[in-house]
Amino acid sequence: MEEVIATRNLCRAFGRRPVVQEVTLSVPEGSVFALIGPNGAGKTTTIKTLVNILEPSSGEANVLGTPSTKLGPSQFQKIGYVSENQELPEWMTVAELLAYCKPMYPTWDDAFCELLLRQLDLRPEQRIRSLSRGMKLKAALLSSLAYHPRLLILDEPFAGLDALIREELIRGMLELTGQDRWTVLMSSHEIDEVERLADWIGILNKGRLELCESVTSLQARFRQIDVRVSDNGDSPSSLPVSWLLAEKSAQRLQFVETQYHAQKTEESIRRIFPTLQQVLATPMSLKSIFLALARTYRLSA
Amino acid sequence: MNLVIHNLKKDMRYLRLLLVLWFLLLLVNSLLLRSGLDRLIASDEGIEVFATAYVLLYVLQQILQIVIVCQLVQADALAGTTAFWLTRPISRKRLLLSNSLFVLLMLVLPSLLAEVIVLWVNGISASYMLSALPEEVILQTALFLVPSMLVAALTPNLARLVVAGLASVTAFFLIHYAVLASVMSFGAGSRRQPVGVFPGQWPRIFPTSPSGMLVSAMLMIGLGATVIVYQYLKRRTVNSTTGATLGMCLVSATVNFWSWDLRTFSEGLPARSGLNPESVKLVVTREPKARGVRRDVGKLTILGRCELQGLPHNFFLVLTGVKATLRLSDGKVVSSSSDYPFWLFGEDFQLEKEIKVLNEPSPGFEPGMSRMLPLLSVDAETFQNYQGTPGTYTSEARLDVYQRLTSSLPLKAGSRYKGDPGETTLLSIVPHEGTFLTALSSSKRDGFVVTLRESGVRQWLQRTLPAPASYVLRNRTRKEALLGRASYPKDIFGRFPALDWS
Repeated sequence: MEEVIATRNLCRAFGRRPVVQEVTLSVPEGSVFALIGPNGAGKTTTIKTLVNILEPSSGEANVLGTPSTKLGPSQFQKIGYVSENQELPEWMTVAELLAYCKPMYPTWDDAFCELLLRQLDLRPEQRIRSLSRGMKLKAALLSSLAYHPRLLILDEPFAGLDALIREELIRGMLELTGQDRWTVLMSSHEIDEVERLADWIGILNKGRLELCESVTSLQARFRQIDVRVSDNGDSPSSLPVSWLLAEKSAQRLQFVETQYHAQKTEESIRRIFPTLQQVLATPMSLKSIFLALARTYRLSA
Repeated sequence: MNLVIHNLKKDMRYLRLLLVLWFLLLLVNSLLLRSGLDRLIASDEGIEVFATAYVLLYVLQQILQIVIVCQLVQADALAGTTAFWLTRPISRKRLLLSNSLFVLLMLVLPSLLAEVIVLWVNGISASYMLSALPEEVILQTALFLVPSMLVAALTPNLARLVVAGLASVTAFFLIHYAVLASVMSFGAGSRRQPVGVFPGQWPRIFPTSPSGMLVSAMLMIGLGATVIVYQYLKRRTVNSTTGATLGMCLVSATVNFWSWDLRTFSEGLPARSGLNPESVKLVVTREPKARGVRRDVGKLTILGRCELQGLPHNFFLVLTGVKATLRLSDGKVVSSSSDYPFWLFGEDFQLEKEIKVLNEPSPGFEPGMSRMLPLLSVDAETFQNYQGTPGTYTSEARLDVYQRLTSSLPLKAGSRYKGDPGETTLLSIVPHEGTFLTALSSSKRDGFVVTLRESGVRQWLQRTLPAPASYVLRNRTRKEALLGRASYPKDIFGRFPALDWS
């Protein structure tokens, strides 16, 4: 599968403070890639570096086959970018914004634009200055979708939105990505929403990419394990590295298995706890996986 | 090119209200103030309103110009990371081209067109316009457009722009005055004279040297434009800010130190000869005791009357520093020095004063006149203890000599003369009571203002009044206007003659 975004050892520092460190990731074409991480993890800086708003301090990033520092009008005709920090020309009406954007994109689709206007519940005569935060994001999204971009980049698209607007946006995006098979790169710390949209996940922590894989694979290998044993024997001195956040109490042990395989995991548990009575492996949501990893990173820090 | 025009149209729509106001101001300024329509105003009140309106309109026009440029550049901000255009298919070159076109088409060209119309209405020839208009473009661009565009290109939003603008102006003044202060020291061997110092005034922020002004303006445009283009194409704000700061220092240094006069003079005015520094003699006599002492805080200044001898007609002198020594008979030595003529401080060398030079010379020494000057400053205790003691007074003085250059020109619109400041054209003669012409106590209050325009390089973009260093007298009977100006100073460095006093 072709890579729409590929970075290698991407670094960005502000002065002497590194914000993005040695990030190597690839976003396959047609995927919805979510970059998640706590506040200050470097998500926005990574995205700004990818779209040439910031220059990398070292390393490289290719977007649509072009080095990010060389991105120009011909590449931006295929990229849609929506960010919570982006400033829209507030003096324009929605119609004026669309009229301003239209001549820049040869693939601008008037019919699709009309459809989006209705779907996103935007009125053309509304001045952008008078729109709420959520409606402004919708206007930005509209002006970034109407030309069928190959790559859509969304930086914290759901931040600060109320539940209704968030739901509308997600529903709209699910429909659109399903129709056109766009590649989407989004950053967010709204894990529940990301789970519904993303098929690839990258977790950033303190500027470093700790994890990058498909959601299916991630959810397949992560399990919440609950073990019951028949005696109160001493805890083993060491546990496998794939077991995270192990907590033992009386005849019970709980941990997160990061390399789950039904048979191998049970064998491994039985080796360590010969008096094993019961093993319960529960699939984990993306949010639970993220929280488990985030706690692990914090503990290891 | 289509996208350049597309962006240009967007900016015109965005700034439409300010543009309408700008064109309105340009029109009013040109029609009412510079086309001679002002002659129709007859009453004093009308003239006062008119004069105030001129200043307000001019200031407003320049402020508006700066606001438009800043809004234009920041509509697609180059600094910061949040501008809309950054992730849209707009190339940096096209953005630069579009913004430059806007400035040219909306600000520079209309302003020039208005100027051409005004000159044409006043009967000015095309050749004269061709010599005057480039200067207009250079000065306007250097003073208003380039600096405001530069600051706007280096800041991401209006709040930071205001802060950066204020900081830049403050820094420029501080650098300028620091440079001036460093060359203003007075000493026996010092002959340094900052070009920004006009006699009797504190240093001015803009120099009186026309060549220095033009060269620094061109330098400002060249360096400013380079930084602006760099910032548009590279968006490296730190590098651009460093470049702009260095450029500002260079421009400030040029403003202060440029001394090569680029102009060629015609000999339309009196020759600059007739002054022999050796023959100039300052005769000092102490004032009677009752009037001869000025008391300041903890200090007394002994005053004397000085008369200058050997100064030819058409010259006047300004004392710019005194170093005085008093050797008393018992061996005690009292000395004082003033690096600057503090007794002239506060006396502006404005137009009214300048006119008085013709009849009632001030503020310098004229041939045959005497002036009260401070001879020596001593503390109160020394004065009390030694006031009856005989002694010998010696002082060194630094004097700047100025030559007044005058020429008469026919009193009709369009008449011209060539002289030191370049070419001067009488644009219009406006009925006007209570103006500088009537400020002369001996002049007849005939109520006319002579409106002049200078070519070459002017000190300032003042259009309806001649430059502050000029004066005009109108002779109605002879149908002539006498235009005069002080030449640039020549240094005379010498000693007061020694005199005994008790």
